[in-house]
Amino acid sequence: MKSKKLPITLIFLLFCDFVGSRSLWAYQWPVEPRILSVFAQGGRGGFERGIHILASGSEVKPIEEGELVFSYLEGSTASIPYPLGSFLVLQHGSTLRSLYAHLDLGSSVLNQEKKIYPKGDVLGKSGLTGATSMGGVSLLVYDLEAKQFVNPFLLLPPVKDTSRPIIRDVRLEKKEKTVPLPTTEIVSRGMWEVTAEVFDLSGAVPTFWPMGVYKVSLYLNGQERFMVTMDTLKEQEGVTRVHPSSGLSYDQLYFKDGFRMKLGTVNLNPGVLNLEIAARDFVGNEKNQLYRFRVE
Amino acid sequence: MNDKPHRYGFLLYSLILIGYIGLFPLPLGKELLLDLQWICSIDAPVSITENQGTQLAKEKSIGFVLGKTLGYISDAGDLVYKESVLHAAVVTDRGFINYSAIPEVLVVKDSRGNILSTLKTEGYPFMRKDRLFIVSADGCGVAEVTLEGEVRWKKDFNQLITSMDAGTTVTAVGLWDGTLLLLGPTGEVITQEKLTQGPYSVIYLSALTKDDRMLGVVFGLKPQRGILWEKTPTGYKRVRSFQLSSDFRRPMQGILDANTGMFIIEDSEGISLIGRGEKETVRIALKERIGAIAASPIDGLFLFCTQQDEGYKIRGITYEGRKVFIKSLPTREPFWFQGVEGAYFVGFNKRILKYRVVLG
Repeated sequence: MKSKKLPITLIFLLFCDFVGSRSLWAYQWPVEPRILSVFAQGGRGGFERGIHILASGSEVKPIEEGELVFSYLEGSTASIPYPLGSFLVLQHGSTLRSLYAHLDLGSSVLNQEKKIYPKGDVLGKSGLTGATSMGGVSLLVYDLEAKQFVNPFLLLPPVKDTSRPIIRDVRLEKKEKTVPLPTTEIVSRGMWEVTAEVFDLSGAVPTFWPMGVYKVSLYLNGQERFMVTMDTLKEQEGVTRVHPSSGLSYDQLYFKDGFRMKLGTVNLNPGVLNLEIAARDFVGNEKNQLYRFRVE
Repeated sequence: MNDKPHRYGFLLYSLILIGYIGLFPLPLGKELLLDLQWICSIDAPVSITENQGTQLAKEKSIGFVLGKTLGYISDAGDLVYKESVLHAAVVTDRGFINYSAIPEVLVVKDSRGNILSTLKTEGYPFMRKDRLFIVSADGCGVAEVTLEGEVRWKKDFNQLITSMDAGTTVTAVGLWDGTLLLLGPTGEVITQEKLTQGPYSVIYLSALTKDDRMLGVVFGLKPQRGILWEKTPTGYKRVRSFQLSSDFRRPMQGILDANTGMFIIEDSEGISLIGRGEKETVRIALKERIGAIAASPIDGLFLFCTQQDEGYKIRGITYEGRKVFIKSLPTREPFWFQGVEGAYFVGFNKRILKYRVVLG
C-alpha cells in the first residue's frame, strides 16, 4: 500500500510546487496596486473608464505582452492635447487593448524602435503628466470585439483590502419631499426614488478618499428591485452605459458630482416594509444596510 | 526651286530654338527666398499703455506660444501682450486660453488679456482652423465651444480619440478602433466608416481642407494606408487610396491643402505629397524629423520645419516636390512655427521672427 501512495504524493507535491512557482493570473498589475479610483465610479461628471493607481516614479509594466499601437508624448504638436498626459496603448492579441496614462516617457517614445513589450518590460515611469495631482498611472482596458471598456479588476489578480463599503445618507425622494432613512415617521404610499451615498475608501492614502464600488443592490421585502455591477462600459445610441447588468447611463446612475447614487424607483404599499441596500467592493467585501419603516 | 529646302530648314531651326528655350530657360538671376520682415523679442516689455489695450484687442495681431510664454505681436512687430504659460495654452488671433494641468475652469481672454468668458470643464482645449474644442479628461469625448463660452455640441464616443481636424462646418474624428466619423455643424454624424488595416485599426491622422471639400486620413499598420475623399452633392466619395512606407504609432503631422487638394504628410523617409490622381505622388527624402507644416497658397509653396540634433530647418518646397530653399536655425531652444496668409512666423531663443517668401 505504501509504495502505491508514494507516487501520488510525489505528483501532488510536484503540482503544488508548479502552482506555487507560477502565477495563476494571465495578467499582472502594471505597478503595486494602491488604488485611488475605480472603474465606472462617479464624481467627475462622467464614468471613470479605467482605474487610477497611486505610484510615484515607479516602473510601469504591461499587464501582458503587447504590441505598441498608439502613443502620445505630452506637448506633441501633431496631436490634440490629452488630459491623460503622456501615454502608451498596447494591443494584446487581436481583441484587447490596454492604455497606461500619466507616464513619464522622456523623449524615447519618439524613436519608437521598440514595438513589442514583453510582460516584464518597462513602459515608462509613473509620472505627473496630464491632469493628475497625485503621481500614478491610469489603466484603461478595452475589448475591441465587444466595443467596450472592461473593468481591469476582472482581469488582474485580486488586491488586499479588508475594509467594507460605506452606505450613508439614504433617502426616499419624490418631487417635493425627502425622507431620510432610518425614519420613525410614517411614509406615504406611492412611488419613491431611493438615493444613497455608496462608496469604498481607498487604503492607498491616509486621508478620506472615497472610491466607487463594484456592485449595488436594492431589495424591498426581500425582492431585488435594483442591481448594478460595474463590469463594462458600452456605448449605445451615443450614450455610454454600464453593461451588462443595468444598461444605465451616468445621469441615470449618479448625481452630477460625488458618490450619490440613484438606486431606482420603488412603489411603496401600506404596511411595514423592509428596504435593504447591499454594496460590494472590487475585492468582494460586502456591506448591507436594512431599514424598516411603516407606509400608509 | 531651291527656295523650299531653305524655308523648311528655317522653320526647323526655329522650332528647335523654341524647344530649347522652353526646356532650358536662361536663369533670370532671381529665386524665391525667405525675407525677414521683423524680429520681436519676447523678453521686451509690452509696448502699449493700459488705455490702448481695448482698442488693440480689436486690431489684428499674431498670437504665439513659445516655451513658457504666450503673447501677441502687432502687424508692425511690437509685443502687445504677454503672460506666462501655466500648463499649456491655446492661442488664436481672437483670444487665448492659458490653462493649468487640472483646469476645472477655462478662462478665455482676448489678445489684451481681457476676460471674454469662462468654461467649466476638466478637459483640455485645442483649436482646429479657428474652431475651439475641448477634449474630455479621458480623451473619449469632445465638445465644440465658442470663445464666448457657448457649448455648440458635445459627443462621447466611449473610445479614445486618436486624431481630429475641422473644416469650416464639418469635423473629422478618428478613433482608436479605426472608426472615422464626420460630424456636422451641430455634432450630428454625417458619415461613419470603419477603416481596418490588418489587426491594427487606429486612425493616426485626419485632415480636412478649410472649405470642407476634401478629407484625408492615415490609418492602420503593416502597412500604413491613407484615403482621400472629396465632397460631392451626395456626400463624400473616395477619390484615392494609397499605401505609405511609414510605421508611425503616434499622431502624425499632416495637412490637406485647400488650394491644391494635396495631402502633405510626414513619411518614414521624409515627406509625401499625395494628390487626387493615382500617379500624383511625390516623395521627398529627409533625414530629419518633421515638425509643423504650413501651406502657402500665395507663393505656390508649402513650408515645413524639420528637427534634428543640430537645430531646426525651414524648407520651402513646391507642390511638384522641387526644393526651393532651406533656412537653418541653429537652436535647440523651444521652437514655434506658423504660416498665416503668406507670412511665416518662427519663434526661438526668446524671439519671434516674421518672414515672407519673396523673389530675390
